[in-house]
Amino acid sequence: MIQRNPANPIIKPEDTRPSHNRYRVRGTFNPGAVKFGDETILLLRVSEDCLPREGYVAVPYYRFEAGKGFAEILEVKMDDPDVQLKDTRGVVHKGKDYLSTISHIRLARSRDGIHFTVDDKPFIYPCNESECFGVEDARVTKIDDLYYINYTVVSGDGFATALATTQDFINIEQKGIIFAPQNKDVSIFPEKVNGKYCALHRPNNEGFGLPSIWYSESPDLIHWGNHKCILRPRNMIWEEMKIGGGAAPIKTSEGWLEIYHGKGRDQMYSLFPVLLDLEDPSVVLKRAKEPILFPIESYETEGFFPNVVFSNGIIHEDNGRILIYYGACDETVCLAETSIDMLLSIL
Amino acid sequence: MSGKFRHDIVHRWEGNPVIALDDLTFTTNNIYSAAAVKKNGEYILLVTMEDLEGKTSIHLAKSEDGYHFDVEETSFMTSSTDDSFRAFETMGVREARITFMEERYYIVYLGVGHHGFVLCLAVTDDFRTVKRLGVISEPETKAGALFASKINGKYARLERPKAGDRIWMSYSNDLLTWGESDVVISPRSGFWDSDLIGCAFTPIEIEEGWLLGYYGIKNTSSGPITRLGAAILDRENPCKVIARSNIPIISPRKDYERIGDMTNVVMSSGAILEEDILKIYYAAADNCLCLGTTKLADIVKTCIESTKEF
Amino acid sequence: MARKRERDLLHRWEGNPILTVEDIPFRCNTVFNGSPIKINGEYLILLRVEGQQGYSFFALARGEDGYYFDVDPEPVMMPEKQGFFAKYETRGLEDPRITFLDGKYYILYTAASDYGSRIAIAKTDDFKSYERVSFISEPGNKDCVLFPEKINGKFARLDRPLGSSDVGSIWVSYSEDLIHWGYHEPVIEPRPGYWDAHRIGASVPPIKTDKGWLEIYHGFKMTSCGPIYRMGTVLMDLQNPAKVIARSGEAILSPREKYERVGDVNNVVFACGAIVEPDDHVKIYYGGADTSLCVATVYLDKLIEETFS
Repeated sequence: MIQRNPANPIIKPEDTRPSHNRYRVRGTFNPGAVKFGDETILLLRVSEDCLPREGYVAVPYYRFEAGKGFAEILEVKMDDPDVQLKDTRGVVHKGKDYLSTISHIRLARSRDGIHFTVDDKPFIYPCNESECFGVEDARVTKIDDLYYINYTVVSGDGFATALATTQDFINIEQKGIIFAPQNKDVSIFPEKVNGKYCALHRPNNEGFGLPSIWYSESPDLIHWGNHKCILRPRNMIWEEMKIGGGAAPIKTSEGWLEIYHGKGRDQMYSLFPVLLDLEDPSVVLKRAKEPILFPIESYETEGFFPNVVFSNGIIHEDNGRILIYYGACDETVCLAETSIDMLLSIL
Repeated sequence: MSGKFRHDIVHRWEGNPVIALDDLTFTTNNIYSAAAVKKNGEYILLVTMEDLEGKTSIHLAKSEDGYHFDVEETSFMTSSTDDSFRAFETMGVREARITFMEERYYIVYLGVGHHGFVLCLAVTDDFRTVKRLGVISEPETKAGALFASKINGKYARLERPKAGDRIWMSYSNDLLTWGESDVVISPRSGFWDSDLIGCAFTPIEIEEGWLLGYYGIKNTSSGPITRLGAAILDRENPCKVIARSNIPIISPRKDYERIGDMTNVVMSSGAILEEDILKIYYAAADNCLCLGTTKLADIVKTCIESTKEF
Repeated sequence: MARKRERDLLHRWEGNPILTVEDIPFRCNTVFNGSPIKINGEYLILLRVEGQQGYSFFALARGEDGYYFDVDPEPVMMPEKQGFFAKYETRGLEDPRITFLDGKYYILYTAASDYGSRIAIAKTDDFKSYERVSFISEPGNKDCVLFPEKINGKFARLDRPLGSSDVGSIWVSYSEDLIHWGYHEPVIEPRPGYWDAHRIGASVPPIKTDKGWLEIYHGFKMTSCGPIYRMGTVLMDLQNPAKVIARSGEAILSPREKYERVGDVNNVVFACGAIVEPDDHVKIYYGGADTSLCVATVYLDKLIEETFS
């Protein structure tokens, strides 16, 4: 049904240079994926912390100047009265929050889709206060000849989703926040449906249920409306906590195919396919009863954040082959292969 | 010494409350905030009421003088039966804010349903029939208000996503799809508005920019205290705060503001500017609707000069 | 027919509250917890006033009879804006307690900031100029009262360090110089099931009696609508205050009147000081619902009697 690549994990933190000489790369994971010319490009999420030093607390942060972000280190003595250690995730210094690990987006390139070289320089780096705790989980959608990249921006306001575009994966144009907080896991459809751009998104709706997958439409990819809740977590251990969308939906003869993730019991992540109507993607046609991928291998069950498989990057080839790039344990990139026919048959 | 000094910028009407449960010709459980507008000399309020089942709906109230209102028993807006809106309004509609724009009255209101709170948009010309236009926000968004004119060629609104408990704004070309979201103002640690803020009445265009009335909450061990404050936003870019009052313009003090289903609440979603006097209609303790007045100049002065106050 | 025992041991003054925001000659939000002192027949109360911005500071009220007061036109102590103290006073000054000791008036107060609450000490000779002395605790401590005389040659105080799960008890500690404190020992703890089940703290600076040090303290019990603050008493050994001689079972004052029940924080009576008149009549000044200042009276022997019951 689905084959993990024997070379897994195909990208590890040690393959990647930190963005500051005193930073340390803790994770290279959750990649967006796209075919560009004869290359496969992954948009890696690179998480970094600071090299430890005895008796000191050191945390990374970004300083913003003239619309650009610069990597900095806050280093203070452990017994400094201005410091309060929160837990392993961060510290408060002079009343301001700092996280111990923050992320940016980096490109990795390959000709065979398996062996990747990670760029030394960041591709999308936090550039303003709304991104002060980092940028995460990029997803790429090619519409006409432009590549739309949406990614999660994290700040004191929580997490929101921003949009950027590129033609060449060198220059990038920021389009700002398209889904206000709390909102992430945005998957933009690769073409208009009934004259409108469409997207799946995941607000943190807590009203009378659990965080669910929503559908939304836009005339211009910037302004969004007609929000509808289309997929809710089911009463099963795989989806006990929440669900969220993955990579851009794939158009098939039977409908839009999307692979989403569920967060279930003991914070375990797993992947499920779902089929949406071609004419009206807010209509769910079929939804798998069992996950197609869940943590089994040691690189999926042991790591920075154990028991996580998370995909936001899929490449589908004309012959129906589907390559699922996924993050394992918030630490490495792995690859699994299946096909459109296979996924349709189990739905 | 007593009575010599005004501790609140806003002066309470001596006849408060304007609408109390006992004034109604019908039975309901509670009165919340109201949108307010003056149309052909007539004062119109859209008052949120909670019925005995716990569902909310919006009722129309009219007055000749702005002080004495007749409230219609039949609701002006209640949970929709239309397929596009039903799931979003199962527990009711509430907290309307009116914006008069392009010769029509737009109403941003809160839908309460399966997904929590969402902002919805409706429009009316005559306050007899109302047309719903769409659900215009992601879930868990409250306190929405449309600006009365386009800003840089786009419609603009204020909103409060649950995350962060602060005021954001978004832009739109069509009133239905919204984006370009950014933060306007945030709670201030240590202040009366330290824990949560949201837009109160619809922003009013004044000489200095946009007058923003907002509600601010400070949590105490016996529950939150909700007060009203003010700020002035830049006309071209409302995310730029020109001035913000360090002190509230009104705080709960009277019994009708302190005692009710929610204690210690003054909260507004409607105000009317008449010449230089601002009439602020505010809900008190989730129990009745009151009126406070102030000179516009006093609020503007407070925004600009209150840094000297303690 | 014998008069039925009243629910509260303390007698509320009929003219309560003695001060509200209407009595303050400058713009502010509320006036509440205040600490009294009697100097040459004049009654002074150092008041906690909460400004409109939301932080507190101190003002001074003056009266001739202990019931009717006028408030000075300007605040007397504001949070420091610069210097050593400023950093820990950004959220204001709270709950002053005055103790007269060795010819000086010491003011113990809570300094509030983003770091939390810590205890500070200031002094004055004349209630015209005030001098900050030092911070005398780390964050997480408040409700500090200074004993009015040395015990075994050392200054002594009660305070309320916050323990685990927000439970707080009253502790005693000692100092040679009022700045450095040590020999901390707990005095009394909250009592599960009682009115003071959740947290307690010192309120009135200890009063010396022939039965021991009398402390009027506050305690609260948590309800779904928030805490209910009440007052109780404890008698401590004159030589060793960590040794408890007696503790009142019942509260001596509970919120009942509207000015105690309805305000910015509902259901609070909270004392910061008392005056013992020459005839042993005690005037206890307390904040009602964080929105008014009130006074209640009782004879000293009744208080002691109640502590033993």
